[in-house]
Amino acid sequence: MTAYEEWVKAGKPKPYILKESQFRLDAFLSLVLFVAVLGLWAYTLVLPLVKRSATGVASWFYTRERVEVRMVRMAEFRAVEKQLQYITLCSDGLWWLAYYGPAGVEEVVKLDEKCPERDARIFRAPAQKQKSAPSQVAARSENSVKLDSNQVKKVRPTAHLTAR
Amino acid sequence: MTFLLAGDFLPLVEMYRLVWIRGRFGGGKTSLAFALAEGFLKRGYSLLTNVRCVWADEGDITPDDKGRYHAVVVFDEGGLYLKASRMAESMASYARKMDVIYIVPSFWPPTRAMQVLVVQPVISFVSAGIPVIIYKWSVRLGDFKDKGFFLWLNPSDIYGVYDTLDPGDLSDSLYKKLLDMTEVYRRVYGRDSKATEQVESDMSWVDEFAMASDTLAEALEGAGRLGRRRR
Repeated sequence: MTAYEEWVKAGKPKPYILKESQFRLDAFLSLVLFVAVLGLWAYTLVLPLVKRSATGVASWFYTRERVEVRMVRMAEFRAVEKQLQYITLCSDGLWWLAYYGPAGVEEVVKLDEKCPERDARIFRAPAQKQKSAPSQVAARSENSVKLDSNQVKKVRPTAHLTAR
Repeated sequence: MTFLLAGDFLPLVEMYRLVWIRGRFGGGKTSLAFALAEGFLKRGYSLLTNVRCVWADEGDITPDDKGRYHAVVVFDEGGLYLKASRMAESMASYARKMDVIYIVPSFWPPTRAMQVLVVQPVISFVSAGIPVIIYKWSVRLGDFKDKGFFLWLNPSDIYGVYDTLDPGDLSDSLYKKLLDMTEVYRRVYGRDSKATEQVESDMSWVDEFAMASDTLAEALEGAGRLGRRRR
């Protein structure tokens, strides 16, 4: 039997002088201060950054950002196909795509994707083209919605519309 | 004993078998040595040490039928004594074959041959009331280098097991015991034991040159690191 096994058998006695307490109040206070400063720094600077990036990553997969990207891709494809420009609009809680050429709006397509009411945006719509406001609408596809000039006015972004 | 993030380090102790624990006086070197030893003692190893410890096996320890000792050697402040590389080589030459682990907690550096796995306490939160000490370890064997760190929780568990005030026996007794063990092991396999007879305990010029070159290499490494940081 080794000395260690005998020691365990004897109930683990500790016969030698214990080390004197190493606790120091100044060290404790320094640590508290350090943790407080670190915590404040993390709360004010790091946390917002983490939150923002986490939201960005999450939204790419799950939220409106992904919908927007899909919409843009679809809109670009169709715009190239039709040789038109397009703008995306948020109206009545849904996204709309308005394709327009030199003569004005050619087609307005209602999308099934929901949008926040007040969050209207334009994607890839050149600034000069925005001035050529649509005057009439022609429906050309199954997803299209026939709109008269009054309805187009309802859909058109005005003051609250922001360009990216 | 509770170690955290030591999954890489603990197997290295058994693999390399030559551990130097360095650091300031009273920084937890000897405590760690015994804490590391306990892992082996639980597996039936014997403990040989030059300080008073309740776990120490006094007298001669007997090898098993294959000549293996299954022992842990804690050579406290061994850096004061183990200066000559030949000493380390003759003492620890069959570390794996004899199944012996050598741990040297010492402020003073032992010979380079004993500095295979080097451990050092970096930050101790004990004085701030948190029972945690952070250690870093490194392995330097020729071109091979590896390093890491681990945490030791509740280091006070070891207090009272060994005598912290005991300066440690620096005489030849432990060293000679280890040489005897090596000789016995060689005899078990029918080899002569002359290899361990003529060992000089004084540093040779080769040792002094090796230590000087080590110091220079460390200084250059530090300077290189400083240069990289500035860039």
